[in-house]
Amino acid sequence: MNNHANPFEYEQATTFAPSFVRDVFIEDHNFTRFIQSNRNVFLLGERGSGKSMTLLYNSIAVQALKSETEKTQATFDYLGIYVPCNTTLFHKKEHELVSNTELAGIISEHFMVIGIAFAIAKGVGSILKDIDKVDNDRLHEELVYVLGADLLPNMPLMQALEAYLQRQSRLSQEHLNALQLDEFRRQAFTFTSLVHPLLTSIARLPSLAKPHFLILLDDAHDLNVYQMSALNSWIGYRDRSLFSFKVAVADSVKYQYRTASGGSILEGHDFLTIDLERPFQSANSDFGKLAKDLVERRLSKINVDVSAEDFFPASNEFQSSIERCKLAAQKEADSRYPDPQDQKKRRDYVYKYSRVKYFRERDPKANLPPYSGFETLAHVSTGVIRNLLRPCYWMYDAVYSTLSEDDRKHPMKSIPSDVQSKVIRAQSEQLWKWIQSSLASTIDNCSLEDARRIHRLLDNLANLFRERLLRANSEPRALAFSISAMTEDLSSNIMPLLDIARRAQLLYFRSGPAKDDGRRETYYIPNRMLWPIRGLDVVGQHARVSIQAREIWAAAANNTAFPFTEMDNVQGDLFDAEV
Amino acid sequence: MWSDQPFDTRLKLKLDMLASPTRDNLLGDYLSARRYVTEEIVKNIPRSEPDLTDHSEAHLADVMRRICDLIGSDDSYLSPHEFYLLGISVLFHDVGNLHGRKEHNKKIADIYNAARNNEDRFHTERNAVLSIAGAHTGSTMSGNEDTVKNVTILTFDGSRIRGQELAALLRLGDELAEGPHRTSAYLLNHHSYKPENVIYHRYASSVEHRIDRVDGRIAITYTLDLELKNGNLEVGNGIKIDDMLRFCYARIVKLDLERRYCKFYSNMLSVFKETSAYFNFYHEGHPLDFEIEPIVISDIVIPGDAIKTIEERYESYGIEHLVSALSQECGRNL
Repeated sequence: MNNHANPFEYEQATTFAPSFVRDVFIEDHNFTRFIQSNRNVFLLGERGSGKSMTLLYNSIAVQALKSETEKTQATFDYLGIYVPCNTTLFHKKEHELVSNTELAGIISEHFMVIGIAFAIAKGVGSILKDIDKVDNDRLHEELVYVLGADLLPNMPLMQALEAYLQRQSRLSQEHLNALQLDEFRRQAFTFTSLVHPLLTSIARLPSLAKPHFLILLDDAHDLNVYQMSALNSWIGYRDRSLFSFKVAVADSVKYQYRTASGGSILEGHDFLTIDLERPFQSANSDFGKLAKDLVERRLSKINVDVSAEDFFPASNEFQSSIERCKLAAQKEADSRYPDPQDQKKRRDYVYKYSRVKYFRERDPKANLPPYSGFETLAHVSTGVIRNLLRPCYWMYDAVYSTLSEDDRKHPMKSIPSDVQSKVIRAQSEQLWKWIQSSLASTIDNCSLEDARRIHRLLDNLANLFRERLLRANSEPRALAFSISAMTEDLSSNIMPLLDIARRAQLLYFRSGPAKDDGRRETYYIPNRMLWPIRGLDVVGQHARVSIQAREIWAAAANNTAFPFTEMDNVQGDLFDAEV
Repeated sequence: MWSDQPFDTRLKLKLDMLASPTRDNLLGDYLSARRYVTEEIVKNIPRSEPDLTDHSEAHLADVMRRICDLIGSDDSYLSPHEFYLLGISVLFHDVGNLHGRKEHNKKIADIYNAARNNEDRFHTERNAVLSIAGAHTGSTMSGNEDTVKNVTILTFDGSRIRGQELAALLRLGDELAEGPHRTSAYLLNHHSYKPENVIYHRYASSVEHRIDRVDGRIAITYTLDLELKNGNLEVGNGIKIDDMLRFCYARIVKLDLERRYCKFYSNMLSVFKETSAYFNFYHEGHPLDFEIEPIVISDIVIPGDAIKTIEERYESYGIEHLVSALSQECGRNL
C-alpha cells in the first residue's frame, strides 16, 4: 500500500508537509478563526482532535503557501510562530538537579525561551529571504545591539540567529554541567530579555507593517510546572498589541493555570478556551458539517469528486429496513398523537423510535447489524477527527489492496458497505482487545487491576446500553452517562479510573446543564467505537443516563451488572435541540 | 451545622499569639457568638424575609472565605484583636434581617445584646461590632453612603483597633459573597420568589467572583444560558436578555465603586487596582460561538478622559448591538 495515496492519512499533523496541511485543513464550522486575533487562546482536546493541525495551519509557512496558491499578496498582519513543546530544549531536566526553586525556574524558562526564539527565527526566516538589504542590515545591527548577540555576518540573518541560539544553549548547558551556576545565571535568557526584544525588532521592519505575532505553542501539557507558570505570567500581560499565545493542551487536567507570582490566569478574562472535542452531534451540527467537509476535501486531493455520503454508502438492506421502521414509527406516532398541534411530539417519537425498532425487530440470533454509511462513520468518531479518519484510512486501504495495477491508476469512487462494516467491526473488536492486553502498559499510572476495572465498567455499560436499546421506553438510545450520589470515598475510587479511561481515549468528559437550572455537570461519553462489536446503535441520541456512584464502583470493582428498570433516571430534552 | 472554615483556623492561630487567659477567653467568646448566630438567628431569617438571597450560615462562611482571599497570605497586618473583631463582625453583620431587610444594619444591637446576655464585659466589643458591622451597607446620619468614614479608631481589650480597615474588609467581602449558592434553582423555577426579586436570584445564579490578590484584580464571570422565546432572547424565568445585561452592567459598576471605596479606607485592599468582567453565553446547553472581550475597569485615570459607562467604554457591549449579535448567533445555532 502506498501511504501517500491514501487520502485519509491520520498520523500526527507535525509529520505532514505544509502543502498537505494547507490542502486538507477545514477552516469553517469551528472556533479556529479566533486563532487569528489578539486574544490568548487555549485549544483543548485529546490526541487527534485537530489541535496541531489548527496551529500549523496558522503558521507562517502554511499561510505563506496559501497566499502563494491563491495568488494573493500575503499581508502578514498575523504571523504565526509554530513552537512544538515536545522537543529536547523544552524537556531538559537540569532544573531537577537544583534544590533552589528560583534557580530551577530560571533554568526552565531559559531553555523554553531559547526554544521559542529558535522557532521565531525559523518561522520569520522564510519571509525575510527577500528582504531589502538596507532593512536586513538595520535589523542585523539592532539584534546585535539589543540582544548582545555576535551574529555571524556571512549567512542569512535568521540562520545566524539560529546559530547564535544554538551556541548559547550549548554554553549554558556546559555551565550547568560544571555546576557554574553564577555563570549560568549571568547568561540565562528570560522572555523579556530575548523573545520580547526579538519580536519588537522584527515588528519594526517596514516590510511587515507592525504585525501581531501569534505564538502557537503545541503540546503545552508537556511543559514542566515552572514553564507553565512562566507561560501563564506572559499570558497575564495586559498589552497584547505585539503578541498573543495560542496554546494547545491535550491533558487539560494536568495543565496548571498558576502564574510565577502565585496568582492565576482566568478563562474569559485572560484567555479564551476552544474545546476541539465536540459533544456528540447530528449531521447538521458543526461537527457533522466539519466531518463531511473534511472527508470531501480529502477525497478531492485524489481527484474524487463525490459527496462523503456517496463515497461511504450505507448498506442497501440497512437503509430499506430503516426506512420501513421509520414508516412504522410514523404510523405509531400518528395514532398516539393525533392532535394536529402535536407535530413536535410526533417528530420526536419518530426520531427516538425508528432506529430502535430496527434493532428490536432483528432476530436475536442474527449476526451483528451492518455498520456502514457516512453518518455511521461520523457518529462512531465520538466527535474526534482522528477517530473519523482512522476507519476511513483502513477502509480505503482494504479496497486499494484488492485493486489491480490498472485499477489503481483510476480514482476510487466508493467504499462498498460490506468493507466498511468489516473494518468497523474489526476496529471495535481490536479496541476491546487493546483494553485487555495493553491498557495497563500504555497509559501512565494504570495498574493491571485498574485496566481490569475499566474493562468491567465498559463491559457493564455496554450491557446496560444494550438492555436500554432493546427494552427502555424512555431515551433508549442514550450512550452517555452522568454520575449521581457521589461521595468522597467513592470519588477517590472512581475518578482515577475515569481519568485513566479519559487519557486512553476510551471515555470523553463533557459538561452540560444539570437538572437543576443554572448548574452544570460533567457527563461521560464512552468512545463509540466500543459499541459495534456489542451490537449497539452507534447513532445515539442526545440524552444521558444517570447512574449512582456506588453502582459505577460495583460494576468496576465487582463486575456487578447495572440495574435496569423502566423508570431509569434519564435526562433527555436538554440535548434534543441539535436533532 | 457549622464546620470550621479557613477563617476560623486563621483566627485560632492569631489568638495563639496572645497570652493566656486572653487567648482562651477570646476563643471561647468567638465560639459562643458563632454558636448563637448560626443556631438561633440566621436559619430563621427566611421566615421574615423569604425572598432574600441566601443569608444562612453558608453566606457567613462565604463572607469569611472572601475576606481570607482579600487578605491573601499576609498574616501579619491585622493584630489578633483585630482579627477577632473582624470575625465577630462577620457573624453579626446580617442578623438584623431577622427583623426585616430595611435598615437591617441598624438592628444588630438587640440580637447582639441577647447573644452576650447584656454582660458588661462585652460593652467595648459591642461598640466595635456595631460600628464595623453597621457600616457594611446603608447610609449615614447625613444621608450619604459613606458609612465606613464614621467608624474611626476603636479600642478593644486595651488594644488599638483600625475600625475603618475592618469595616472596609467586611463590606467588600460581603459584596463579593455572591454566586449560585445564594439562590435556590428549584424555588426560582417554581415561581416561589416575588416577581420583582426574580432578577436578583437569576443574577445570583449567573455570577461568580474571583479575588485575585496577587494580580490586584477582582474578576466577575457571568454565565448566561440564553433561550429564544417568541423571537425574544431570555435568560430564564421570563427575564429578557437586555434587562439582564443592564442589571449586570449596573452591578459591575457598583462592585467597582465598592472596590474603590473600600480600598480608600483600607491599606490591606490597596493592591486591588482593577475590576474585570467576562460573559459566557450558552444556548441550548452549548457555548455560543461568540466572542466578546472582557470589560476591564482599572484605577488608571487619564487626564482629560471623561467618566464613561460600560457601553461608552466598549462598543461591543452596547445593549442593542450585543442583543442583536446574540440573537443572530442563537438563530444560527438552531
